[in-house]
Amino acid sequence: MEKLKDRYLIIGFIFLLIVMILIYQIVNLQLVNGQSYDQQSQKKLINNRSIVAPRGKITDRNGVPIAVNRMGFSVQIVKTGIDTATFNQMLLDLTKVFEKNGVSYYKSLSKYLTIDPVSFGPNIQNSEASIKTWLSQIVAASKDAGTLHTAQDAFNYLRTKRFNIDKKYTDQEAYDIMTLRFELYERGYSMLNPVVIASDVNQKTIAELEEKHSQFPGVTTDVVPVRNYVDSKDIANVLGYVGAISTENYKKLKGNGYDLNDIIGIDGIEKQAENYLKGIDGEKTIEVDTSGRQTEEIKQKAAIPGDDIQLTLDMKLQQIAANSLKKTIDAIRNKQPIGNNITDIKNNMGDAYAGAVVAMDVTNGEILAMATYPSYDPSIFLEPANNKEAQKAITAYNTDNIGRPMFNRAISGKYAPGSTFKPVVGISGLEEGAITPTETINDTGVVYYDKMKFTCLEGGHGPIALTKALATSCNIYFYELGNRVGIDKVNKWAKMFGLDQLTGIDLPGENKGTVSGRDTKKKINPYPWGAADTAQSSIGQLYNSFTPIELVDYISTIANGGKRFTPHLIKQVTKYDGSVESNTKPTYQQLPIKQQNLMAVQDGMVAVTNSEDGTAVSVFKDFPFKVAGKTGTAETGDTTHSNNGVFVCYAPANKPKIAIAVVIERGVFGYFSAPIAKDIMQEYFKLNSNNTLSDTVASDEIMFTH
Amino acid sequence: MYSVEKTKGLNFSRQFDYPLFIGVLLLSVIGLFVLSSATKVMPGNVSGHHIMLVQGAGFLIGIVAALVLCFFDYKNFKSLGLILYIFSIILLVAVLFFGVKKQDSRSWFNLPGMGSFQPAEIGKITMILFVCIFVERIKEETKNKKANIIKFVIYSMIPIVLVLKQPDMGTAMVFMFILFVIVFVGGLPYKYIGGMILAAIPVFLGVWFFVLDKYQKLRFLAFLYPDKYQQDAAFNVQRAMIAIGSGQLDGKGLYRGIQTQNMGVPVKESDFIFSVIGEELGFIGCVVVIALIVFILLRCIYIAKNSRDLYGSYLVIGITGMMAFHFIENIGMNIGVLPVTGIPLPFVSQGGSSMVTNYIAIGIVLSVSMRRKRAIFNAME
Repeated sequence: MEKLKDRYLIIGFIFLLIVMILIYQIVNLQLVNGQSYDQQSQKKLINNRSIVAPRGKITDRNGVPIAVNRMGFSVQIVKTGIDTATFNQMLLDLTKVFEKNGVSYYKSLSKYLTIDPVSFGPNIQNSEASIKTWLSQIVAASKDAGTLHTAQDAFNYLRTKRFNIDKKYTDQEAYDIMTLRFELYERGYSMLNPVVIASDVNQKTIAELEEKHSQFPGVTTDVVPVRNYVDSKDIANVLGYVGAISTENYKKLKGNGYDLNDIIGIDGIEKQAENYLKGIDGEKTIEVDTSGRQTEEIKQKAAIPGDDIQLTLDMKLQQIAANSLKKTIDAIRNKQPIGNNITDIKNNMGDAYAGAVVAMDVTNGEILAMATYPSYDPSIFLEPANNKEAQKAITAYNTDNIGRPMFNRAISGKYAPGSTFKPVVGISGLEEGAITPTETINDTGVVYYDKMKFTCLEGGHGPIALTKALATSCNIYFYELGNRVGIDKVNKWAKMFGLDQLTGIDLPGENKGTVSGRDTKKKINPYPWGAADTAQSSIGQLYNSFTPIELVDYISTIANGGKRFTPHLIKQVTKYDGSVESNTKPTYQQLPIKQQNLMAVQDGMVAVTNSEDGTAVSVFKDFPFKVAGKTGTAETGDTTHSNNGVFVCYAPANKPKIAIAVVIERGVFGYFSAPIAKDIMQEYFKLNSNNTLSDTVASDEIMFTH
Repeated sequence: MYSVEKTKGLNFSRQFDYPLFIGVLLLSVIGLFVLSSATKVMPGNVSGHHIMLVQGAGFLIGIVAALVLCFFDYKNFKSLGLILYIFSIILLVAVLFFGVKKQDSRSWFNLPGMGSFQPAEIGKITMILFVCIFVERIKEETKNKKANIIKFVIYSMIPIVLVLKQPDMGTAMVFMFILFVIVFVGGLPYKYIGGMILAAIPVFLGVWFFVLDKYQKLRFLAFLYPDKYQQDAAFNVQRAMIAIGSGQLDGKGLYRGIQTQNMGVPVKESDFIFSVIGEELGFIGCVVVIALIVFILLRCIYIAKNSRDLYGSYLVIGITGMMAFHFIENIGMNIGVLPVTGIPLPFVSQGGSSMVTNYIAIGIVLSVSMRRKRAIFNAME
C-alpha cells in the first residue's frame, strides 16, 4: 500500500508502461510485418529526377521557326546496390547495345586517356603539368598519385584499383567499362540523381533497354527536349549554336540552375539570349525500386520552358541576302557576269573569297538581314559525337584560318571603307563651314601633299561640287576637303557616327572600328601626322577600318535625318504562356546635323546610282524607285590581291526604309557588291517577278487586319 | 533498520554515479555511429562530415560540462536560479525577433560555423532549476504558501507562452509535461490532477481554433488519420515506418539501410533518426537502445527518490520528465503511435548544442546523485 502511494514509483511504472507500448509497436513493425515492409522498402526509394526545361524557340519577325525543340530520349544511370563485378559487366553490355545501335555516349575519359595504344588524350598530352594534375585527380588516395607516371600506369590503376575491373576482360573491354565508370564518377553519380550518359538516343536503343530492363539495373530512360534547327544554314552566324556546357562554364554557372548535363548557347543569339532561352528545370520526386525504375510519382515541380525569342530578321530576306552574297562572290571569283550586266574583269584577280552584308530598318534600327560568307551549318553542332562527318565538318570550320566560317564578319570583321567614308567627310566639311554644297573644288587631275603626288583616277574632273564629287567618287575633291576641314574635325564627325565604337548590337563578339587620325598613327608610326595622311584618310584609307554593322548604322543615320539607332536583332521576348517578357524599344541618338547639309550629301548619294556618271548607275538604272548609295573600293595595301569591294545604300531615297552595307573581301570594285543590295531590296519591296502586285496587296491587307 | 548520515566532503571516485554516466556514454556512442550512418548521404550541399564534427565536439564538451557540474553543489542553483532563468527568458524573447525562420517558426539562432542553437533547450533546464525552488518552498514552508503557488504558476507560464509565440507546440508540450511531473511528484492531490485534465479540454479546443495554423493542424490530423492526410503530412511517418519495419530482427547493418542511404526518410539525421536505428540495427538494436533509455530513466527516478533534499529531488524528476518526454515522443512518432512534433532523440539526433544541454542536464542529476542519501550499512561502527 505504501509503495502504491509512492509517486516516484508511479512515474516509473507509467514510463515502463509506455515503453511496453512502444516495444509492442516495434515488434509489430519489425517482427510481425517486417517482411512486408522490407518488400515495400525495396520498391519505395525516393529519387529526385530533374525535368529538363525546353529551350525557348527562336523565330524570325514573322514567326517563321528557326530554332525549335523536338523530343529525344536520354539514357541515365542511377546508383543501385549491385556489386562491382555485376555492375562492370552490365556497363560493358550497355556499351555493346550502344555500339550496335550506333548510339554515341559520353566519353570524357577519351580526352585524357586513349587506348590502342594506351596514351594520354588530347586534353592533357601536350603538358606535363596537366598530366600530373589529372593523375592526382584520378587516384582514390593521394599517396597513390606519386606512383603513377605513364599512361599505362594510369590505365592499370583505373582498371585494378579504382574500378576493380576483372582480369577476364580484354584491354578494350576494360577501357569501355572504365569510360562509363569514369563518366559516372565525373558527373557525380549517386543514388539520388541519375547521371545522363547518352542523350538523343534512337528509339531502337530505348526499346531494347526497356525490354531488357531487368538486365540493366539502374539504367533508366527519359524523354527530353532536344534542340533542332530549321533551315539554319543561311542564318548561322546570327543564330549561333548550342553545345554541352564546358567544365569551366559549369563551375561558373552551377549556382544559376545549370547542371553538368546541360546544353548552353555557345555563339550568336543562342549565347546572347541564353538567360531568356534557358528556362527553369523542374523536378519530380518519385519512388523507385532498387534497380532505379519508377514505381510511383510523389510530387512534381513542372519545368518552366525558356522564353521564345522573336528576331527582327526576315528569314526570306535573310535567305536572299545569304544566297546573293554567295552567288556574287562566286561570280567575282570565277570572273563571271555579276548581277545582270557587270562583266568588267579589269583588276579582278579572281580571288574574292569572303564577305558580309547587313540590312537594317532605318526607322528603328531593326536588323532585317545579316549574312556572312563563308558560313557554317549550326545543325552540325547538334549532331551526336559519333557522327564522324559532323565531327570532320566541325574540325574543318575551326581550322579554316582563311575562310573563318565561324567568324561573323558582319559585326566582327573590320574593313577599310574606301569611298563609302566620303559622305561623312562631306558632312564634316559642310557642318564645319569649310565648304558649301555648291562650292566647287578644281580637280586638275594631280595634286601634291607633303610632296607626295595624288592623282585623279578619271584624269581630272575640273571644277566639281559635292553632289558630283560623291557621284563620281572624286578623290581630289575629298583630299582637298579633308585638308580644309582638318583631320581632327573629320575624326570628330566620323566618331559622332559611331565609327569607332561598338554599335551595341545584341550579338556576342562585336568589334569596334578604327577612325584614322593622329592618335591611331601615333600608335604604329613615329612620324608626325601630315596633309598626305589627312588626304588618304579622307577617302577612307590609311587607318580607317569599320565593321559592316557600323557602316550600315552610319548610312542609316544619314538616311533618316541624323538618328543613330542602336541596331538590334531581338524584337520581342515572349514567355512560355504567351505573355510578353520584353519588347526591344528602338533607341537612338540624334546627331546635331543641319538638315540642309544632310540633304546635300543625300543628293550626292542618290546621284551615285542615278546620275549618268554615278559609280553604281549600271546596277540600279532600271530600278523602279530611287536608291541612294555609295561605292567603295578599298586598297588593302597588298597588290597581289584584288581590292576589297564595299557598297552602302538606302532606299527609297525620298522616304528611306532600309539601309544596306555590303563588304566583299577582294571584291575588286565597290559596285561589284551592289547587286547583293539590289537583290535584298527587290525582296524587301516585293519587286520579284514571283511576287506579283496582288501578292503585295494581299500581304498589306494581312498586315492591316492584324 | 538503516540510518542516514550526511556525507561530509566529497569522495569523487566513490560517490560518482557510474551506472548513470556509463549508461549515457553508451547511448551517446551508439548515437554517434547511428548519426554517422544517417549523415553519410545528405541532400544538396549539406556536409555530413561537418555535422559529425559538430556532434563529436558537442559530445566532448558535454562530457566535460557534466563532470564539472557534478562537483558543483546543485543547492547553489537556489541562488543562481533567478539569474539563469532571466538569462534564458531574454534568449527566448530575443529569438522571437532575431531567430531564423524554419518551417514557419522562429525557434533557432544561427551561430556562424557552429550550426544553430535553440534557446528553448537551455530554457527547459533553467525553468526546472528556478521553479523547483518554489515547489520546495510550497512543500516545506507553512507561511506564504499562496504567494509561492502564484510565483510558481507565473514563472512556469512565462517560458511556455514565449515558446508558443515561436510557435513551437512540441517544445511547449515538453515544458508542460516537465511541470506536470514535478507537481505530481510534489504531491499535488489527485482531485487537482483530475481538474487539470478537465481544464485541458477547453484549452485544447482554444488552442486548436485560435493558435494552431493550418500546417500544425495537418500534422496532427495526419497522425489521427494517416491515410487521408498521407500526401500532405504523414508522409514522413509512413517512410519512417517502412524503414523501421524493413529492419526486421537484425537490421540491414550499419551504413547499409536502403532507405537511410537513399534519402528515403526525410530529416533522418534529426527527427527521424530512430528510423535509422530501426532499419540498420533491427529489432535487436531498437531493444538495446530502449533498454539503455529505460535504464537511464529508472536510474534518474531512483536518484530523485533518494535525494538529500526536496529541491534536488524535484530537479532530477523534472529533468527525468524532460528526457522521458523526448525519448518517448521521438520514438513514438517514428513508429507511428504519437503525432509528429519535431522533437529530437537525446544523445542521438544531430545537434551539438542539444548534445551539450543534455549532458548539462545529466551533470545536474550527477550532482544530486553524489550528494544523495545513502544506506550506510556500517553506521554501527
